[in-house]
Amino acid sequence: MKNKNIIYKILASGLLLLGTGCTNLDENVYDKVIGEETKFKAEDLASLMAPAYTSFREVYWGWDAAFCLYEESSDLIVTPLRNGIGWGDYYITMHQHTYEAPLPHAEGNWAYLFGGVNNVNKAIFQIEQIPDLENKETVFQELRALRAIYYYLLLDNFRNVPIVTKYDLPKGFLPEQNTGKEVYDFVESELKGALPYLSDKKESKNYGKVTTWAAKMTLAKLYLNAEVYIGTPKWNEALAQVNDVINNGGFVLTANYLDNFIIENQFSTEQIFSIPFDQKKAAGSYWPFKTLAAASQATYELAGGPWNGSGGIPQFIDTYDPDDQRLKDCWLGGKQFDSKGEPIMEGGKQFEYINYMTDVNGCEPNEGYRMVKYEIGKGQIAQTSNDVPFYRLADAMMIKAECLLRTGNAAEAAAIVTKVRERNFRKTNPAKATVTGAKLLGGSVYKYGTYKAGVITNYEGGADIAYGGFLDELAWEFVGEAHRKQDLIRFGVFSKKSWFSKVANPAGAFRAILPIPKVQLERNSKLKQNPGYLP
Amino acid sequence: MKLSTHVFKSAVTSSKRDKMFCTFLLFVFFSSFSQHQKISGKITDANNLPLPGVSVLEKNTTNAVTSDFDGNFEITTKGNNVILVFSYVGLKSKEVKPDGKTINVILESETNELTEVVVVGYGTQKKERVTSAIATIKEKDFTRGAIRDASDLIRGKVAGLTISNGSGDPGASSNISLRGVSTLQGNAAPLVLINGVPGGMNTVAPNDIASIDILKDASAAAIYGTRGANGVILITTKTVNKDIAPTITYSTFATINNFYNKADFLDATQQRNFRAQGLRIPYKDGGADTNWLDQISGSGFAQNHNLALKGGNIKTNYTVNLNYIDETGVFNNTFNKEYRFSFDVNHSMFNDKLKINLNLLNGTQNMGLSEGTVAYAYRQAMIRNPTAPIYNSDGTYLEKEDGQTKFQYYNPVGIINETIEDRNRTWQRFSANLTLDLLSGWNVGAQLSKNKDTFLNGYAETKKHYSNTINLRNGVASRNTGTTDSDLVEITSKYHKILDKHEFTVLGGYSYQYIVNEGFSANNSDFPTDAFSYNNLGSGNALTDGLAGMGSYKDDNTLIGFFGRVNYNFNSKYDLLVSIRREGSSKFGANYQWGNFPAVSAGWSINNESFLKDVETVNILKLRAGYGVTGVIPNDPYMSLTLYNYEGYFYNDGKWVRGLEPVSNPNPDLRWEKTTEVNMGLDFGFFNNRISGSVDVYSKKTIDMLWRYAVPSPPNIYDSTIANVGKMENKGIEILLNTIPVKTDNFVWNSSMTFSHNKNKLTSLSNNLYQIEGDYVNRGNTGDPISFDTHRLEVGQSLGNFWGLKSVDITNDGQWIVELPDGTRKTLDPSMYNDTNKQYLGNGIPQYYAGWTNTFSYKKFDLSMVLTGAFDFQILNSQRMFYGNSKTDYNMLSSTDDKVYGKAVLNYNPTYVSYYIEQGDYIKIDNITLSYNFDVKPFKFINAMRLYVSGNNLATFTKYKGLDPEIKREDPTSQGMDNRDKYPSTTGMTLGLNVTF
Repeated sequence: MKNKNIIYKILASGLLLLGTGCTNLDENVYDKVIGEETKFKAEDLASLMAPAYTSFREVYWGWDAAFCLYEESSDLIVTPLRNGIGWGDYYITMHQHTYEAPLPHAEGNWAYLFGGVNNVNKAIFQIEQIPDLENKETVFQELRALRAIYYYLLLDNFRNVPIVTKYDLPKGFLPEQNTGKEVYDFVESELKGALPYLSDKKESKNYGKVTTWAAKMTLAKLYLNAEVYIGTPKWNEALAQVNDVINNGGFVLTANYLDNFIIENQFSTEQIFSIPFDQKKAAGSYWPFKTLAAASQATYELAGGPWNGSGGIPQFIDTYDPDDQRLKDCWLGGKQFDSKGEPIMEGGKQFEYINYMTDVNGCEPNEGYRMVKYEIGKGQIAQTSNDVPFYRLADAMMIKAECLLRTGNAAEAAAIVTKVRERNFRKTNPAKATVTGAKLLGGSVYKYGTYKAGVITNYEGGADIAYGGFLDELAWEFVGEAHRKQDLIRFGVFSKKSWFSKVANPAGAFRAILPIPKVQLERNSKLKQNPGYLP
Repeated sequence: MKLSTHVFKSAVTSSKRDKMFCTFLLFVFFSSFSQHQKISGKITDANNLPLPGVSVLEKNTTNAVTSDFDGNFEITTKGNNVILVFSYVGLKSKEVKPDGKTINVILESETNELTEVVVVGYGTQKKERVTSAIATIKEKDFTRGAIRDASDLIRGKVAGLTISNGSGDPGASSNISLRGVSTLQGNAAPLVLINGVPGGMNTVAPNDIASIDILKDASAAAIYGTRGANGVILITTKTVNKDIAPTITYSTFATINNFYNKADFLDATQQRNFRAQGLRIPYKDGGADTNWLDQISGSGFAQNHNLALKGGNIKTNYTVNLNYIDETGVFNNTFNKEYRFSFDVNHSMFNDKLKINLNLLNGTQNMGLSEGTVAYAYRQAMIRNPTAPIYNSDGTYLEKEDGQTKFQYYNPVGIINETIEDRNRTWQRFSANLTLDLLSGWNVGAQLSKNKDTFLNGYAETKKHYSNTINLRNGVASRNTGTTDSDLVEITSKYHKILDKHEFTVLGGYSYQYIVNEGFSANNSDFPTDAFSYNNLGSGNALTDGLAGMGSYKDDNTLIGFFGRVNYNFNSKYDLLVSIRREGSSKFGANYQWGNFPAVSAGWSINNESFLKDVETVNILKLRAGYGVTGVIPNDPYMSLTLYNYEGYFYNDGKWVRGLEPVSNPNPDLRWEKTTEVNMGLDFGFFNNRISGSVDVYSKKTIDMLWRYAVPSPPNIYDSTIANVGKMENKGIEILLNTIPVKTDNFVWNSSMTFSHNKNKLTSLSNNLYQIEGDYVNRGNTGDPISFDTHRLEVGQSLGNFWGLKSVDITNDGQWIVELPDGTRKTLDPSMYNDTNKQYLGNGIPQYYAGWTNTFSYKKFDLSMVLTGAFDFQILNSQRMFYGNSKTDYNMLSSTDDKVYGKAVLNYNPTYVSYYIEQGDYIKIDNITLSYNFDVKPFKFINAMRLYVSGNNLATFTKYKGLDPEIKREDPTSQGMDNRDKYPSTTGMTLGLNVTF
C-alpha cells in the first residue's frame, strides 16, 4: 500500500534521527585553543613563555600600575582634579596619603604582578609537558628569575604576600599569606639559585629577557632596601652586585640623557633590562595622553585630544638647577607652539603651561609642567613605542654611590654622581656637573611644606633630611622611572614631609606598605590586611 | 403517551418545571405535523466576510448542509418549528428560528472563555482545562496604532509581563521581562517561540499574528526546560484551515513622531542672561544662536503597509502576508526599513490522516545610524555652547571654540552628518509540521525547521568627522558580518482518550536544536577619499601601516531535550497535569550535562460542581495550583573549558611572537540556573462573564544562579570564573480583571485591568568554593568625570538598590551636607567618597506595574485607550547630576541656578548624591485609538473597511524631572539609571486604514 510506505518512511527517518547523535553534546571549538586537549610542542615554547614576559608591560604601564603608583604618591608628580575635566578622585587620596583599601593603584599593581607570577607558573607547568625540549632547565631558571623580579616588586609594595610557585593546584586552593621576611628570603634565594643558569651575554636574543645582569640589579635593589624590608641594612651586599654589573656587564652611559627614552631606544648601551614596547604590537604607555593638555595635540600632531591629568609638582620643578638639561629634557613648560612653530592660541592668548598649581582639589587645565622625557612621536596614537629601560647603568651607578655614601665613602660617591651628571651640563655649564660629598650628605633643596596657589603655607624645607643632597640627585635622574616612592621611603621622607596638598603625617607611616586590595581579601579569606589599615 | 413522574422530582423550581412542561408539550404538539421547507441565506462574520464551510444543522435532526465559498447555504428542512444551528470552529454557534425563506446570519467570534483555546507548549488546550498561569491575548484584543513589533500589541495587557522601551530609536526593540528578574548573568528575556520555533518579537509582522500566549509560571514553562525560567511567549501566526473565499486584506498606517519631551538646557539668550548676572559660564559668547538639538533632529515619519492573502478549502489552504515598514527617526539619518514575507500552507491528505503545514518566512531589515552613535550626539547637542556657530567660515564643522579643545566635546552636527551606518539583517525560516494520525486519538508529529539570521553592517566616518579633524584618522571605515544558523527537529506523539468521565492526553517528544554562529569583521583608516565610505576597505593606508584590524569567529552549541506530559481530567471538574523535560546542553560542564525539569499542576473547576452548576451568576470559578522547575542556560558556549587564545606579542630574539594567553578558567561543574516556582491561581467569571479575570500568586526560588566570581590568581589562570552559586527569590501577585460595565445594542464598554507586584530578594552569592566577602558587590557606574559605583548587590537585599552618599542639606556656600549611615551630618568633601559613608538610597526597579485598557464601541465607532503605570521606584537623573551644576565645563540645565533644598545654589563639582535620585512613579497614556468601521454594503468588492487615528506615548503623569520615567532597562544589576547619552522617547500620531476585499 502506497500510504503505508509513506508512513513507514516518515517513521524510519524519525527513528534514524533519534538513533544518530540524538544525545551527543560534544562541543566543537573553532576559534580558541582548548587547554584540556592540546599537547604542546617545542615550537610552541616562545608562545608559552610569552605571557610570563608580556605581563611586565602591564606591570609598568598598565592603568594605575607601577608608574603612576611610584610617581604620583611622591613629591614629583600629581594628578589633581582638573576644573571642568575631571581626574582628582582617588588620585587625590594617593597624593595626600589618605588611602585605604580599596585603592585602584593597589588593585592594579597586585593584579598585574600576580598576573606575571601566575603566567610564569603556568609557562613552567606547560613547558614541563613538552617532550624532548632542549635546555629546558635554562628556560625554567630564566622564568624563575623573572618570577623573582615580580616578587621583588610585590615585596616592595605589599610586603606580606602569598608565595605561589605551582600552577596545577587543587580546585578551590587558596594561597597562604607569607611574611615580608619570607618573601625577601624567597626573592634572594630564587635569584641566587637562578644566576648560574642565566646568560650574561649582551646579545639580540637576550633583549628584554632576564639575564645575569637583570638578576643582579634586582638583588642590588633588594639589598639596597633591606633595612626597609627586613630591618637589616645590606649596603655592602648591594655594592657587590652593582660592582659586578658596572665592571663586567659592558654597559656604557649614553652620550645624551634622552637617548634612553627615545622611541627607538632598544639596544641603547645603557640599558640593562628593558621592557619592549611597540605602538602596534605591544602597546602600553598612555602617558602623553594622561599628562598633556588638549592644546598640546597641535604640538605633537597627536591622533586625538589628550586627557589633561598629571602635572609636575611646582616645588619639585623649583629644585632643578636651571643649567641642568634634564629640566628641559623632562619637562614641558611655558608658552606652547604647534608642530609648525606657530603659537597655540586659546581664548585669545597663547597657551602656556605654568609652574604653578592651585590645589589638588582644583587646578586649571594649564597648571603644572608636563613630564615628557619619553619621546612623543609625531602623529602618535594613544600608545607609545618607547621601551622602558627598567634597569639602566645610571641606576647601577647611583646604587653604588648611595652604598658608598652610606658606608662613609662620600668622596667616591660624589665622583660617581658627578659622572652621571656630566652629560646634563656638558652644553650649559660643565663645571656645575661636579658635586661634593658634603653636598650629597647634606640636606635636600626641596622646599617641603604644604603649598597652595603658589605659596608654601607651612614651610618645612629639606635641610634635615639625611643624605638629602643625594635624594635630590635621584629625583633629577630618575623622575618618571617609577623609583621615587621607594626612594622616599628609604630616605624616611615618605610620611614625614609635606608637599603640595599632602600633609606630613608620621602616624601614617604604615602607608609605605600598600593596603592589600579589598578585592583580593574578598577572594582569598587567608589574606590579612596589612597593619594600620581599616579592616 | 405517559409522562413518568420522576422527571418532575428534580430540585428545579416550580416555575422552571412549568416552562419545561410547556416546551415539552409544544414539542409533542408540533412534531405531529411534518412540513418541508427550503430556507437559504448568507453567513458572514462580524466583519461582514462571507463564511464558507459553516455547518448548518436542523436542530434535533441529522439534516445538515455546509455553506459554499460565498457563505451561501440552502437547506430543506424536514420538521416543524424549525430551529437551525449554525456552527463553525472558533465562532460562537448560533441557533436561529427562521422567520422567512431567506435569512442572513452573522456569526460572532467565540468570546466564551470556557471554550477558548489556549496555546501551550507542544499543543493547545481548552482554557477551561488549563491548570497553570497562562495569559492569552487574541488578535481582537491587540493594541492598534503605530505597532512596531509583537510587544507593542500586548503592552499593559498581561499582568506580570513588563515591556519597556524607553528609546525613540526606530530600530530599538523593547526590553521584556516576566515576573521580575531571576538571573544575573544568563539571559533574562522570556523564550519567544513563533509557531514553536525560537525567534524574536519582530520575527513576524504584527499583522500576521493571530494570538500571543504567555506561559508565566514554571508548571507551564517546565516543558521548555533550561530556557523556561523567564517565561515563554508563544506567538501563533494566522492560518486558515477551512473553506475560505480568496480574500485580500490591506492594512496601512502612517505615523508622525516627535520628541516626547526636551531637556531644558540654556539657550543662547539664557546663557547671555546668566553671564550678565555674573554666573560662571564655561564658554565665550560665540555670537551665534544655535539650537543644537534642532540641528540634528526633526519630525520622524513612519509608514507601514501590510497585504494579507488567504484562500483555499478545508483540505488545502494558504495564507500569505507581505509587510513593509519604512520609519525615519526623529534624529537625522536614523531609520528602519523592514520587509517581511510569510507564506503558510496547510495540506490534508489520506482522509485527513496526514496533515502538513509548511511555513516560509523571510525578513530583511535596513537601519541607519545606531542608537549608540546618536545617543552620544544627543549628549553633545545638550552640552554644546548654544552661542557657538555650527560651521567655521570655510564651511567645516566648528570643533574648537575660541581655539580651545574641550575634553570629550564634539560638534553633534558633524557626528550625525559625517557618520555613515548601514545596518542590514536578513532572516529566513523554513519550517514543516507533519502530523500523522495512527489510530483514533493517537498521532505522531514532526517539526523540522531551518533558520538563518544574517547581519551585514557597514560603518564609516568621513574626513569631516571629528575622528579626522581632531583625532587625525583621515577617514575610518569598517564592515562586519555574521550568521546564526539554527536547526530544530522536534518529534512528538500524542494520545487522547476519553473513558467515561476520565479524559487523558499523553504527550511524549524529543527536541534537538543545533546553533552555529560565525562572523567576520575588518576595519581600516587613512583613506585617500571619502567616496568609498565602507565599500572599498582595502584602499585605506592603515592596513599597510599595521594599524587596521580584522577578526573572525565561530562557535556552536547543541540543546537536546526529551519531554513528556500527561493531562488528566475527571468529570470536567478536576484537572491534573504532570510533565517532565530531561535536557542537556553542550554549554554545560562535563559533570552536569543533563538536567531534569519536572512540573505538576492541578485545577478544580468549582463552577462545575453540583452546588454551583445552576448558579447562573457564576460562569467560571476555578482554583489552580502548580509547581515546576525551570532553568536558565549560560549565554556563551565553552565556558566550562580552559581556553587559550593567541593574544599579545612577545619580543623574542628580534621578532614579535604571539603569546598563548588564557581566556577563561575551566568550570566542569558549570550548569543551568534552576528555578523552582509555586503558583496558585483563581480564575473567575461572573454575570455572563461580564466580570471575569484571574488572580495569581507565585513564589520563585532560583538556585545555582550564575555569577562571575572574582577568584585569586594564582592559583587561577584567569581572575574570574563563572560558577553556579547564587540564590534569589521572587514573590509576587498578578491580577487580571476584565469587565464589561456597559453592554447595549449600540454601545459596549470593555475594560481590562492588569496589576502586578514583584518582590525580589538576593538570598545568597556564596558557597564553600566561591565567596564574596561581606556578601555584597558594588555595581553600575555614573560615567566620567564622576566615576562612582551607583548600585549595590547585597545578599538579603533586592536587586536594583542604589548605593551612595545621602545628601540632606546644603551649606550657605553651596556645599553638600550628607547624612552618614550613623545619622551624623557632615559637609561633603572628596575624602568622604568611600563605602563607610554610603548607604542605600532607593531602588530602580518598580515594585508595582499596572495596565488599564478601555474599549468603547458605539455603533460603528471604536475607541480604545491603554494606560500603563509603574510605581514605587526611583530613577537616577544623570542629566541633572552632570549638567545641573554651574561647575560643569559644558552647557548646563536652566535649572542650574535653582536653589538646592530651597537654600543655596550648588557650588560643588558634579558628584553622585541622593539629591539626583528621584521618585519615578508614573501613569502613562500609552495609546488612544479611535476607529470607524465603514458600512461597506454600497461597495461591491469591499467586504470590510476600517479607518483609525491613534496616538502613542501621549501623556505621562509623574514627579520625575527627567524626560520620561519609562527608561531603558538593561543590566539587571544596575536598574534605574536614566543615562545622559540616549535616544529620547517620542510621541506619535497615527492615521491608519484596513480594507478587506
